[in-house]
Amino acid sequence: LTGTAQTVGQTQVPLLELQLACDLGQVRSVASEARSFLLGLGCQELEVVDCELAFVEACNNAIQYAPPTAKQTPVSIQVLCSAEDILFRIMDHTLGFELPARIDPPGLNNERGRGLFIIRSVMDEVMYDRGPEGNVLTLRKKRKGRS
Amino acid sequence: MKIEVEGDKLRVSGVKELGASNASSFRHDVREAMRDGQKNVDVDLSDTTYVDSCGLGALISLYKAASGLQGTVRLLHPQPSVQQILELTRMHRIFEIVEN
Repeated sequence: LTGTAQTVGQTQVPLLELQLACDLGQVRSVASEARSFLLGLGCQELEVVDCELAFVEACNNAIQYAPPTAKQTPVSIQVLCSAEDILFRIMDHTLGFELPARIDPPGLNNERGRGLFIIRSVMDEVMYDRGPEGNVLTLRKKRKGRS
Repeated sequence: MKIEVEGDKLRVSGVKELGASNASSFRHDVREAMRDGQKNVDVDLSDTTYVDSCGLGALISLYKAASGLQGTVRLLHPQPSVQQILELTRMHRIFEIVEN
């Protein structure tokens, strides 16, 4: 599995671009593509597991909260992997939300509401930008070093 | 997925993944199987490579159903990646987790 590259500063950073249909059944296969891309670039299994966990939660949210008018519009995804970090940009077409500064885990008996908590727990940085053409969730994971 | 009845216990196995795409059917199928009074549920996670927050929600639903009958839910032999999300979300506080 190969991607292209994006210039960040003066460095070419490997880039994988993906389109995810608004279908929960497609999330795991797209996550597998991202996983293969990262492992192929020498990322460690443990950091890839964290990224996969956060990525799936982010994609699930992008699909589950898409309004009916956006169900035909795919979720656009970029995965960038430099020597320092792994970056995901997930562009959704939901109504958006305010990312709280702090995310506490829900009560143990709650069946919902753990997605953002999991994302925040396993990634080093989480940002959410709302825009008229769509919203962008950015997830960053610092790399522990090449395996 | 396989659901076996052993007295008042259900044993659920053969779940490859438990996520947003199949959590509802998993919850429905197991709760249907509890209708004859089985109050204890063992979910064998040894074949399960992935659980996400929706999958956790389905397991919590089983926990609540079993608790209502004074029963328990045990999670058996989770793989390391599944064990990670169980610990991260403190599921060991409500489930008995039987490791390998």
